[in-house]
Parts: sequence; structure tokens; C-alpha cells
Amino acid sequence: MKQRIHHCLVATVLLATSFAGSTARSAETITFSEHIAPIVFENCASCHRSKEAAPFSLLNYRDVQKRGELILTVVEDRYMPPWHVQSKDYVFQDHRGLTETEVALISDWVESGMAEGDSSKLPALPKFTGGWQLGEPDLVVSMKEGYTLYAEGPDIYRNFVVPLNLDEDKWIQAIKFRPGVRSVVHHSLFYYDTSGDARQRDAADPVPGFKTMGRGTERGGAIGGWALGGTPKMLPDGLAYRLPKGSDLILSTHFHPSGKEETEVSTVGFYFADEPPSQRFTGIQLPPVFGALAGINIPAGDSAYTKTDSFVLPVDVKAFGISAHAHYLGKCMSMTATLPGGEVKELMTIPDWDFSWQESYRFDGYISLPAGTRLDSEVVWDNSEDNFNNPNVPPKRVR
Amino acid sequence: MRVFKNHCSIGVCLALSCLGAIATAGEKALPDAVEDTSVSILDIEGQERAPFQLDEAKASVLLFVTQDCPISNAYAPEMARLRSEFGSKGFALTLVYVDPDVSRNEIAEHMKAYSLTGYVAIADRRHDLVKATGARVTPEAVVTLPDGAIAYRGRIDNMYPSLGNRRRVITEKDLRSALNSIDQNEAIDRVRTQAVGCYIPNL
Ligand code: HEC
Repeated sequence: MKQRIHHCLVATVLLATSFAGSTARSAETITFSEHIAPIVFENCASCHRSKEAAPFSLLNYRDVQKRGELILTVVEDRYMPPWHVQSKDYVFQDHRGLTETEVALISDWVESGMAEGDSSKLPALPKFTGGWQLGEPDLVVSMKEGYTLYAEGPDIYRNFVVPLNLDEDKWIQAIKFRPGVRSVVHHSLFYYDTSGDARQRDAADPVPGFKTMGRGTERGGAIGGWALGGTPKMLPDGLAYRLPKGSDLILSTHFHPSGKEETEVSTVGFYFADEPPSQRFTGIQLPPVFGALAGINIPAGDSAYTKTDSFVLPVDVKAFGISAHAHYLGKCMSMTATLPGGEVKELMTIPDWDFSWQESYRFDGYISLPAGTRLDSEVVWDNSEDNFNNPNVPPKRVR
Repeated sequence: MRVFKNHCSIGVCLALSCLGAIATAGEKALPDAVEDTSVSILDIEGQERAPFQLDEAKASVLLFVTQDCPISNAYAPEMARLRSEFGSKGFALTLVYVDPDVSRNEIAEHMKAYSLTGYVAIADRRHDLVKATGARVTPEAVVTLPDGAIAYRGRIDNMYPSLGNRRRVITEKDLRSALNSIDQNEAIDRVRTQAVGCYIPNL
């Protein structure tokens, strides 16, 4: 606890200096048209426009001025734009985030009364391509039936089975996921299942889909995922996921009830490679299994239950992406690579885990990890009352 | 390993210190009573309403909302329950839509979509009620007594500890407990709480 308080001080001091720095700018010169619109159009408008996931548009002066204080709060909090991973050593593609200077500009603008300025200086809105950004997919499928979720209550995790009826193996280069009701679909992880097991579970459950978090299928594999605001991407250099013939697609979807009942029908577009790829890739998961199998046994009230794992790469690896996965009690997560020469690189840290954003991140280019590199991962769980996501009040032991 | 732990606690604490900042900003010189209880305003049906003048009602419960704030919307089911439970106990409950650009039609549609029909709803486009009560956020509840005193102001419950964080289990139902206390002529436990949500849009 002591330690935390200390850190808080550090954090507040940092904030304070950035404020002090920002007031040096003469505030009345800051206008929406010239200074704020470029930041908002670039960093917010992709989601904050009609038919996208965010609840309101931020596309003009009035949209932004009327929510000035709220916008300042969410950008100072680093709650918007949503971004949850960091690395000192590597850059992620599609990184979202405002610089200190941009936040300070917004702060000064809000505090100085939010002038509109000369509207002829307004930048053009970025061009957004709706629909299938990667062109017409090779295969489009939808959930067979709508799933109706309640207006309020805990978040829902549910798996939906979509038969693909493929009579030959395919190679997936990209998947585009289109939620039916954007305000309630938070993310979806994709799996394939060749065992028919998922179909059976679906049939056994009277409501469309079936429960259990994560994948819930034995013979199959992960083939990517989508999180709110995500845009589809081709795998690099002709890499592709194998999709065996006869597979069912499993959408493992996280919903966020919105205050009214909604019925979701998700649609998925596949982009296939013409030929099998010449190179293969694989995922390395640390710890390799979750939950009971990983020996997790978190006492009630423990606010920092920590589990570490490591793995030495037997071959040279080129890494291009990374993701993290934890449930309600996850708090922070990190992975480092100790290169054979002893140099330690931070692959990823998710400092303030928000379990609702299970995203995967693509590195900007490949990261070379020679054979002999040691990967270390650390996951910290918070099973105390202070963890808002704790499903148990008071906390209970979790195994 | 050390380094990571440090990172982790900084993340957590940043969120906490920001929460602190919101709280202090919100507590500046808010009125303890409605000064002019005669304020009157049209509801969305065009009927004149004076929400602070209570003929029979024990208290007036104003729920400040916006049609496009996810937090405000997430409370719709609880708002519907509050109306049916406390309306019959002699409380006057009103939805106050505070977006200056919202039309009566949009409000009616919103109420239908979120099963809030049956409420008296006001489009407070000039913020008359916002100013009279000092409401700052949606959703926020302000409960006034017949003499204009603000008996309770703040959150409906503790579902949202801060923006972007939703509690899995609600443990404090402050508005309900305030209304129950008024109903039973008892002292209210906590008369002021911090509402978490979207700041009321500017005029
Ligand atoms: C990746 C998509 C995305 C981007 C980019 C984004 N937002 Fe959001 N924003 C959302 C979503 C989704 C919500 C609704 C959250 C919810 O439902 O709880 C939201 C909510 C908000 C809210 C309301 C507060 C709340 O708790 O709901 C504000 C204000 C906001 N965003 C401002 C911004 C600003 C300013 C930017 C740019 C600096 C931005 N957003 C960028 C997706 C985005």
C-alpha cells in the first residue's frame, strides 16, 4: 500500500508539471479550426461518427464544443482514444494515443472558452471507407440466428457456431468482422472447430450459441479476432492461417449490455490466399495454459497475485504480433525477451488491464528473436475488493 | 521484474488520482436548496411543469440524462424500476434531458427504445433545471423536498467507479436508500455522492 501511495505522488507530480508547461502558450490563440479539429479528426473521428461503435459523432465544432469538459477528462485519463499496450522498445501498428502536447492543447482550449476560430482553416475530414475495407471477401457468412441480450447485467461471453461448409482446406489471410449492433459487441475471438463438439454444445443450449469463456473446442485453433474500432489486416508476407475443410467457425464474442435489449447477428468476411503459404507461423503462449492447469490459486483479497513463466526459443523467431488474455481478475501483464547476449527487451506491458479489451497487436515490422532468446511473461491478478471487475463481493479464493 | 510491478501500480494510481480530480472539480459551491422553486418548464407533451412545487408528493426526483451517454443509458432499466417503485410511494420522478440540441421527438424515441415511457420528461434545452440544481453529470439524481431543500444529490448507485470502469457487483444503492429514508421519515445516510458519467453538454 505504501508503495502505491508513493507512485501516486509521482503520477500527480507528472500531471502537474505538464499543466504548468501548457499555460505558457497564449490561450486565446487556440481555436477549434486550427488546433483542435486536426487532433480530433485524426484520433477520434474513425470511431466517433455515425454507424460506428462510439456513442456520438465528433465531426464538427458543435459536436466537440458541447462536450468539451468530458472530452478533456477522457483524454487526460488516457481512457480515449482506447489503447492498452505499451513497449519501450518496439512500435505497434495503428498505435492510438495523444501526445502530452495534444492533451495540453485540448486542456488550454477548454479552459480558455473553446473558440471556434476561422472555419476556413478547418482541415478536411479524413476519408473513411465503410463496408469491406479490403475489397469484396471470398466468403461471407453470418450467424444463423440472432442472439438477444438483456438490457442490463454482467457482460456476456458467448460462443456462436457458424458452419462454413468448405469442401477443401483454405488459407486465411484476413478476416473482417462486422457486428450487427455496434453498441453492444465489444470484441470477438475467432476459432475453427473440426470436431463437431461446438455444434453439439450449441444444440444442447436452448438459446443461440453456448456459454463458457474462451474457446470451448478441442480440435481446432485460433484464427484471430476483432476488437472495437479494429480494422482488418492481411497477415504479412503471404502468411496465412490454415482453415481445414469441414470446419465450423466459432465466434467467441464479448457483449456489453447497453441499457436496452438488443439482438445481434454478426457477419464475417474471409479473405483466402490462392495458394498455401511458403512459410508457417505459430503462436507461443505463456503461461501455456490458463486457469487451474497453470496452478493458479489466488487467495481472497490478494491484490497482486503474480505468476511468471519463461520459455527459451529453440529456433530463430521473427515475431510480428502479440496479444494478451485474462479474465476479470487480471491486472497487469507483461512479456520481455532476453536476447542471447543478455539484452532485455520489453515486448509488451499492459499496465492497467481492462479485461473487456482483449486485443491483439501487430508490431511495426518483424522483431528478430534469435534461438536462445528467453521469453519471460508475468501476469498479475487482483482478487481484492478494490478490483471493480471482481465478480465476488466479498472476494473468494480463485483456482 | 521489478520494473513491471512499478509500471503496474503507476497505471492503477493514475486512474485513482484522476478520479480525485473529478471529485474536487464537482464539489465547487453547489446549491443546498433550489432558490426559486417556482421555475416552470414545458414537458415533451407540451404540458407546463413546476418540478420543485410539490403539492402532494413527498419529494421531487429529477434524473438528469443524455440520450447518447453510454453510462446514462446503462441506467435505463434501473430508472424504469425507480419510477414504478417510488412513483407509487408518493414521489414525483422526472427525466430531464439536458442536451441543448435534442428534440422532443428524439426524446420520445429514446424513451420508447429504453422502455422509459410513463416518465414525465423535460427537454431542459436552456439548462433552467441544470442551473437551479447544480447538476453536472448525466446520469445524476437531485432530490428536492417541498421547501426546495436538496435532500440528495449524486449517483444512482456505484455501478461506475470511474469513466470506463464498471463494477461487476453493485454494492451501494445511494439514491434508493435516500428515497427510502425520506419515505420513512429517517435521516438520509449520505446526502451527497459523486455522480460518474458524462458532463452535461454545454449550451
Ligand atoms: C477505437 C474507437 C474509438 C476511438 C478512436 C475513440 N473513441 Fe471515444 N468512445 C469509443 C467507444 C466505443 C465509446 C463508448 C464506451 C462505452 O460504451 O462504455 C467511447 C466513448 C467516448 C466518450 C464518452 C465517455 C464514456 O464513458 O462513454 C467520450 C467523451 C469519448 N469517447 C471521446 C473520445 C475522444 C476525444 C477521442 C479521440 C481523442 C476518442 N473518443 C477516440 C470508441 C472510440
